[in-house]
Amino acid sequence: MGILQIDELSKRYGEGETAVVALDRVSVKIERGEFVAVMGPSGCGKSTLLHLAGGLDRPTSGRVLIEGTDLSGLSDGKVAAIRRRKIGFVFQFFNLIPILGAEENAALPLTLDGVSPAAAREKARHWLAKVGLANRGGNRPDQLSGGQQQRVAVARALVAEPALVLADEPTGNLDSRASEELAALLRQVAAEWGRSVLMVTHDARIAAYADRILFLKDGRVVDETRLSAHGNDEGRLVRERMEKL
Amino acid sequence: MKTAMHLALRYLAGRKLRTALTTLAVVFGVFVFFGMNAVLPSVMATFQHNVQSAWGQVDATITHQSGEAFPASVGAKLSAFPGVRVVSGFLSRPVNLPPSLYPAAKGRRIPSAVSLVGIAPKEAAQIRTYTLEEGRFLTDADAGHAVITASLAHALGLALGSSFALPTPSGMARLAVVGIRPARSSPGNEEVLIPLREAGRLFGSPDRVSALEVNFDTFDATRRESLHAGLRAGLGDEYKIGSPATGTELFATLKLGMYAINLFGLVAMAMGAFIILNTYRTVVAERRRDLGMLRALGADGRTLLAVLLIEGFLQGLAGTLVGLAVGWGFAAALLAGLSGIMESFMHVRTGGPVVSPLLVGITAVLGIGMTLLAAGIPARQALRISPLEALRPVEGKTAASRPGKGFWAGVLLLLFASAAVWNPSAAVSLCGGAAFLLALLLLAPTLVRPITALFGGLLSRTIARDGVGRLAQGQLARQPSRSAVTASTTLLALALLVATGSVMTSITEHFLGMLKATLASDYLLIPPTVSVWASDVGAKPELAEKIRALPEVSLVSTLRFASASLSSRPSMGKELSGDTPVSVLGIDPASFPKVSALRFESGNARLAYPALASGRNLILNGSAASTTKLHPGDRAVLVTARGLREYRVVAIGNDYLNAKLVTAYVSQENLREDFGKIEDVFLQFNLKPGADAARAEMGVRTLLEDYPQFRLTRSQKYLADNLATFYSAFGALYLLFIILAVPSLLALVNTLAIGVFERTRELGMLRAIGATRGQVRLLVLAEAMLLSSLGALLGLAAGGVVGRVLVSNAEHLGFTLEYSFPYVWMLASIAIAVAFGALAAYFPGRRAARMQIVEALRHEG
Ligand SMILES: Nc1ncnc2c1ncn2[C@@H]1O[C@H](COP(=O)(O)OP(=O)(O)O)[C@@H](O)[C@H]1O
Ligand SMILES: [Mg+2]
Repeated sequence: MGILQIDELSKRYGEGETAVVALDRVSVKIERGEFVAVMGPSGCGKSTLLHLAGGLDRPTSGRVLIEGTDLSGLSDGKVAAIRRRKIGFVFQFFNLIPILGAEENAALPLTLDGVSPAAAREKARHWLAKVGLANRGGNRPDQLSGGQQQRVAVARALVAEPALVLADEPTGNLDSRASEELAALLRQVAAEWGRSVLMVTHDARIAAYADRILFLKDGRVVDETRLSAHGNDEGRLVRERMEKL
Repeated sequence: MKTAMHLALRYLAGRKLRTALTTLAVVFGVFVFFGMNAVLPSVMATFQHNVQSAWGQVDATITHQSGEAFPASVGAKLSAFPGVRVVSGFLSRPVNLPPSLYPAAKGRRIPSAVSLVGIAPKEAAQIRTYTLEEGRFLTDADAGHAVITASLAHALGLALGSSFALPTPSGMARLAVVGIRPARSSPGNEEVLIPLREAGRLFGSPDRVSALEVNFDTFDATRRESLHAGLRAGLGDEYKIGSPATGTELFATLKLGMYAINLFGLVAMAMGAFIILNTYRTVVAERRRDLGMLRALGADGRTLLAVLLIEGFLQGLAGTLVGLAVGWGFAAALLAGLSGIMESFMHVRTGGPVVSPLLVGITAVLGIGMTLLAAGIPARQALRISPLEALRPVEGKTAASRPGKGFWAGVLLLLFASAAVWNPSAAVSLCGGAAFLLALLLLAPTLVRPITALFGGLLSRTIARDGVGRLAQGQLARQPSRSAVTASTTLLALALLVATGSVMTSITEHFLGMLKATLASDYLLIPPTVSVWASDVGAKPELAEKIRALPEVSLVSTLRFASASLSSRPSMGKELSGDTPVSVLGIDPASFPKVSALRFESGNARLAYPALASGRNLILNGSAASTTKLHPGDRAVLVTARGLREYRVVAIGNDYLNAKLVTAYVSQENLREDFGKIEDVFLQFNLKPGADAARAEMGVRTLLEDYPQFRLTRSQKYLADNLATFYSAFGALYLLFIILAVPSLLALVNTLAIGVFERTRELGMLRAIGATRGQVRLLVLAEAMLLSSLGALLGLAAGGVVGRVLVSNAEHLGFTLEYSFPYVWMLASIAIAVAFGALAAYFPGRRAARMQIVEALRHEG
């Protein structure tokens, strides 16, 4: 049983003439501790795939299973609970609540789940330390750099000890150094801490940190590659492959 | 300019929801201000009418020097006079009742003549109170209809609907009774009221009146003087103008009411302005990115300012027009509702909304001006930052918490207020109260953080766990000034509620206490006009004797009356003009304290009553003491029908019936000796324990056949009736509160809706990381609760202080009140705040909860 299993997933927006098929019968399976990147041109359906995988939206057809649980039959509240406990999210921007400190931001999935504030903050502190922000717990987002903010978001994604982390262009707003640092961190999330990571990116160098890369075009998986090593050579390899498509 | 216009229109059309929401804010603002102020003149007029007609006072009476009737057109001329509120003419002629038509009957005393009085029903009702026991009042359309008194109906054997004949110069007139007024108690002929036009026809003098009664629209002494002078000059020597002595208490009451009602108008204006300002500030803040982008593309600051101002102007114009219409409709509907209440409880008709060109002008300036200002000021600020800075995505930057100029001004005002509030001078302490209110408004932005932290902690521990309370609290602290302005409308509404509540509670407690003490007997015998004793026909002492002789009765106590004037001169002076007229009430010092009680302000019952029985001693009531400045121990000279008499003041005390009149209490012995009065004008009696009440009532009723002027009633019933009128008199005030409460609700809804709209992406993210719809909804509810608690807390504080100041200064306006803490009003205010919080959160909360997560995440912040 995979952590995330996607079967024949389709998503159509709109009706009739103007209908857009954003996702067309996509099937993906991700194992525990696997780091998978999704690449593809703008508008090919990457975000849609991620949103459906996280239960943020409902598919037109097909199904999504998180640790064997089919999301399609669940109520809104149940899906929200799965998001709190089994899935962590990292977005491109507007990722944190500006009025809360880093620690409070990171603790949110737990507090929302009814964990006592003290216990939640204890865990948040733990994860902030692990992502390299040991002393920044009290800082508000506007007092942190972009890279640091995304690390807080990663800590938040991990705080509830989820099985799956979903990241939509997490480096889209970062400079190249911060981007690489974040990619390395996500690699660590998968390889060392045993979470499955599904990351959308259009940066080949970032994708090269993954174990496996899915290439998406017009809503379909058109290619897939497995990387054994992760370095500059692989980055070039991935880029060439992208350009070929 | 053309580009600016084009852009402005595109923005308005392109963001329809936003445009609608902001225009709605202007509509609300204008609606509140305009609606309130259109209602106020009618409320004021009703109030003035109530007070003036209760005192039976007219500002001027105009008659012809010859005493003959004169053209009614003079009245039309007078109504056009600026400052004249209402002119009412009447045509009156005595009419003999021929014995052939009305033969003497047993048990009835048929009058030999009545006055047939033609009145203009609408105007007359604005000058005097015509209470009706049965039927209806006259209308202009009535022909062959009359309104008579119960005493005349009884004498002539008439009932509602029956008709009677009266001889007139134009022959015998048949009139049908459509309304019956209470029995006539004052001397003079019984009156038969008919419409003025009908009277003119019957008397053969169409369009003529015997007198015009005029009421002014002002209580300002100098303005009234000049109005009188103006009337005199305008009418010439042909006419006589009678003007009444200005009763100070009447004017004090009217002034108090004027202040209160004008305060409502001002507060409505402030609230309207707040709503508009608050909305636009956010709109411009949202536009920051767009403004930066347009400047990066080469638009200059002037063009962009013009864009915002054009938008502001168009929205201000549209909002003002709609607001005027809605406000008028609201005012008309409210007054229609109000007049029902007024008519059934007070027999008073209220007019429609009064819309003066001035009010429309001020409203338009306020609506459009406020919108322009509200759009322009933040726009200029936004344009001052560099385009690059504007383009950078603001991750909801938290405003600086450093106290600004407003804060320090607030602190200064607070210092002044705390010193001034307790100042003995009325002007200073009232200023102190106002300063306190203003200080809270200025301090509100700084107080947002600590107060929301306080309530937020409470919420987090109760309804909004799961960190939702903390999120709500943070959200309000994010934009402290926006939160403060929103809370300020609640603050103002509740402050007004609590302040007025303080005054009302104090008045109610005060009078309720006195009422209960005054009417402590089992039964009362009430004359037609309680407390206007001079017009009551008393009973000889034998009535009291006979009641006392009934086997069921244990005790009878009576009041006797004489009018006099009071001189504060310690010795018997020669020149006594300008002294205070006073009602002198004779009581029996032995029995009076058993059925009634004075509330002593100084002195006490144990010494005061026996003192009355021994020598020329008197008790003054509060009104008498404050007008004459006499204290216990002082000597007072009464100018009596039999010459000057020197009394000593032994105490100051009040009873309910005479509270408003300048009154002195003496023993019935002294009243007989010095004033020659022995008639009882008011009687109270108690029954023996276990006595048969029905039999006692029957016995007294039989005795009263010879004294038809008295009405027998149980004290309990009289008390209940009095309280009912007392409460209904304030009905209009309660309605005003509702009008004030509505805008604070609107302001709350507006702020919450904007907050939800702004944070669309943030809320989407919250949902993405696992917040349920319920939690998002709770978040909005918690924000609403925090905002309204903030407003309530400050409003209660402000209202409490202002109310305290008002009550302690009531004596300067002719009342002496003890402060009673308005618990009920405070609780009601808190309940209103909580209810409004919940209500305001409903739609924005639903919108936030129903958001599609993916769409929210894609939302263009
Ligand atoms: N709410 C929506 N309504 C209509 N079309 C949409 C909606 N969301 C996404 N799309 C369309 O679906 C396609 C895939 O979008 P998306 O998944 O965001 O692409 P990507 O993230 O790869 O850039 C695009 O053509 C986009 O225009
Ligand atoms: Mg995308």
